[in-house]
Amino acid sequence: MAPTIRALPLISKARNGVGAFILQCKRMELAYCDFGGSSNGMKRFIERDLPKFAAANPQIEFVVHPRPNHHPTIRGLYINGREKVVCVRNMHESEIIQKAQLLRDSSGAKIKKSNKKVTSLNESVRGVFSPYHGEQFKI
Amino acid sequence: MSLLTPHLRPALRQALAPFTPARYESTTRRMTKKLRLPPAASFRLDASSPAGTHIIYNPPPTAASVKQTPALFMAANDPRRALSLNTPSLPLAEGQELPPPVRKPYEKKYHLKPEDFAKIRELRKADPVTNTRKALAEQFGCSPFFIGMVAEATKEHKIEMHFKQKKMMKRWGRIRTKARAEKAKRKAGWGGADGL
Amino acid sequence: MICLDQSVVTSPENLHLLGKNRPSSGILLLSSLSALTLHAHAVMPKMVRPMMAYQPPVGDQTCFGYLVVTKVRDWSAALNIKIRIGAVGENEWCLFLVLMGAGPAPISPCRQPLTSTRLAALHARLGLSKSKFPLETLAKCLIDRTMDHNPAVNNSALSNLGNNLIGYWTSEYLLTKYPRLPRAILGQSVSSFAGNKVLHILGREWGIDHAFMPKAEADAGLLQFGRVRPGEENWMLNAVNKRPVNRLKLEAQGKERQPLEEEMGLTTEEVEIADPSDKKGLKKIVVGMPLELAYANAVKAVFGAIYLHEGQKATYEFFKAHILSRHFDLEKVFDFFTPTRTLSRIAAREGFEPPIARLLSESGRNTRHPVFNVGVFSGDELLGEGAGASLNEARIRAAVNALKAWYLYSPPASIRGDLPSKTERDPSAEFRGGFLDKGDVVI
Repeated sequence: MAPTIRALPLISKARNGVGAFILQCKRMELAYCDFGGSSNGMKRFIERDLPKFAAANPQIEFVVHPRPNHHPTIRGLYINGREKVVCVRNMHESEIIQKAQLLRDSSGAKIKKSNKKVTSLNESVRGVFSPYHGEQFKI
Repeated sequence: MSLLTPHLRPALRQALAPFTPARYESTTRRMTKKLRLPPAASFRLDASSPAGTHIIYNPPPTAASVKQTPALFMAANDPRRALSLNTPSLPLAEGQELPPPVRKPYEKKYHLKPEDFAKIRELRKADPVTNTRKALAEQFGCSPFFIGMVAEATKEHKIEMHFKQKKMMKRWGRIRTKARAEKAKRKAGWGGADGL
Repeated sequence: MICLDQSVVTSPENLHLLGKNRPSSGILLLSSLSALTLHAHAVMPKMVRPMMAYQPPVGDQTCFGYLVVTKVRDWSAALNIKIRIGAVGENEWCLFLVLMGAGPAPISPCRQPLTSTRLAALHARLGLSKSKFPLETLAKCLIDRTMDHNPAVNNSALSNLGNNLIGYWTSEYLLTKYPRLPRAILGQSVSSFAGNKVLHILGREWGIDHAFMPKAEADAGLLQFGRVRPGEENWMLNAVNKRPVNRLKLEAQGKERQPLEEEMGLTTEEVEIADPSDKKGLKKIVVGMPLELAYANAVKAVFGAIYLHEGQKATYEFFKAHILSRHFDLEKVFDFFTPTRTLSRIAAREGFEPPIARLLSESGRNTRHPVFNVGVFSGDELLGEGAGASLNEARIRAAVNALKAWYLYSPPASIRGDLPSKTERDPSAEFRGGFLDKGDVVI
């Protein structure tokens, strides 16, 4: 008996947040320098604000390591394999925590401009216009 | 200034000139005014519109999607069956006929008996060249497709026909071969593979 | 979770190298974390093992040999990483990580799941219960059988359980929602939600990283497995190029069936394993696994582990959140060979009037790009519409749309049957059977 139907090998797409939400930032590496003055804010941040921030975001792995003779940086690593690095030289702890929050809230995707107001996997509610249906325009 | 065309005032000349519909207007204001469509019938308010709150049924100008099941396909105890709004339908006016069929509809006849099938097979096997599916269909009063279901041609005949076709296809040039191949590909996608 | 880089640990004599004698070195030393790393080490104090609050109703618990039912005083702290600052020497502050361990586990001694920040981050990312789901089990889920053949250590049993759960719940969901789906479409739809390919992608989306046969010091948060050996036939290519083996046919012919692993093309080798049931003393084991399959097994193992630790309800919620929430366009999966014939047979079986294609509208018949809108009618009922560049194409597309409307019928909640697994989650609930289809049409 000949087959009447074949299934195309399509797979489902994830919709992060619809069911479960997976935070895209999986790791943050904080580098500081013992000698450089630009790392002062970073060092204070690590001592004071980092434990609380880390506890509030248990999904993120935090790695703190010295990087001598360099400005302090925060490197965020994401699930899509990309990373974002922010140099926090000469910043106050309040500014650094903002940068950390920025990295945490990012998806890791390249910043892309969209001219569309709405982007969706779902088809439109009323469907695409057809001149052959509904009230047809008579010339 | 030609001798044939008398000197006329521009306005008069324009009025007498043959009418050519304009594709554009000279100012944006005029263009947008021209393109403005009147509101849809269901939104127009006139003397006959209801005075109080009412529901406007405004179906979109689209073909029904496959997610909308026709009432006939629904289960017998489906409560949505009674609701005509859910199902795709053709807004037929009273007394209006259904659209013309694409292929001529025919009445299926069940007049052939097992003896006829045996005869068909015999004829087809004996001389597939003369007793083509079309000829047998005419003889027995059925469709060539049905003859194909009843009687298969001999293996030799199939091979012969296959090679005959290949021989003809060899004569095709580059453009025809490509066009035919593309058409075959397009046709294969009509079953749903092309995603449309 | 904070982890301090231990690579700059130096002996106390070399403190001066850190700038102790440099200007404002006193402050430097106090706030310098490099200095602090001198004294940073993971402390494993003697701890009472945490109690396993949830006892799974089914399954053997030999795989959880490390969890013994004992009393624990403060076990919310048992699995948290604590950071304490305390004085160690004079004028020296130190920061050290105090890790509350759960005692020895039947895994290779150096692979400590509790020291892995990556593992703990994964645990939190998945929203697993801190009280019920131990980190050790999550580490176990990430160890493939090609890495360690001890079934008490690898994820094979959990993966098997998870596979059954996921497959069962996905198929029952689709069958209840779309009772008329043809078998081929149903199979593909289940794969598209819960197949190995998708589970591999899901594992990646969870942020699981992998390592091929790592050393014992490797991070317990990595998916550990052995690769398919170079030169071996790739199992995916095998699956695509080979015809599916008809097992019954082989048996009828008297031929022996190849073991599944060999059929799939996984790397196997014979090793000596002390197995009382195996008299020869040799056993064939899988030593090479494709990446995709390893990830899929790990994800399935997580499902199995949640089932055993947190219970069925929690697992079903997890399943809905991660698998059923995925977007899948069922309409795009259909590919019909002879739609007009199929529709005609369905109409004959169901007793509808024979379907006739009618031209609803057309435009540009003699131009290079005509449009024909054809609708398939059964009597005066419109079943489906299609548009095409030729009458034939439009007719076929209309039949395709009519068939999709037939197969994608989803009965409303009032007549749809309950999910069969409903009573497993709630034994007192009433099960109400629903709409049943006659099945695939025979042409």
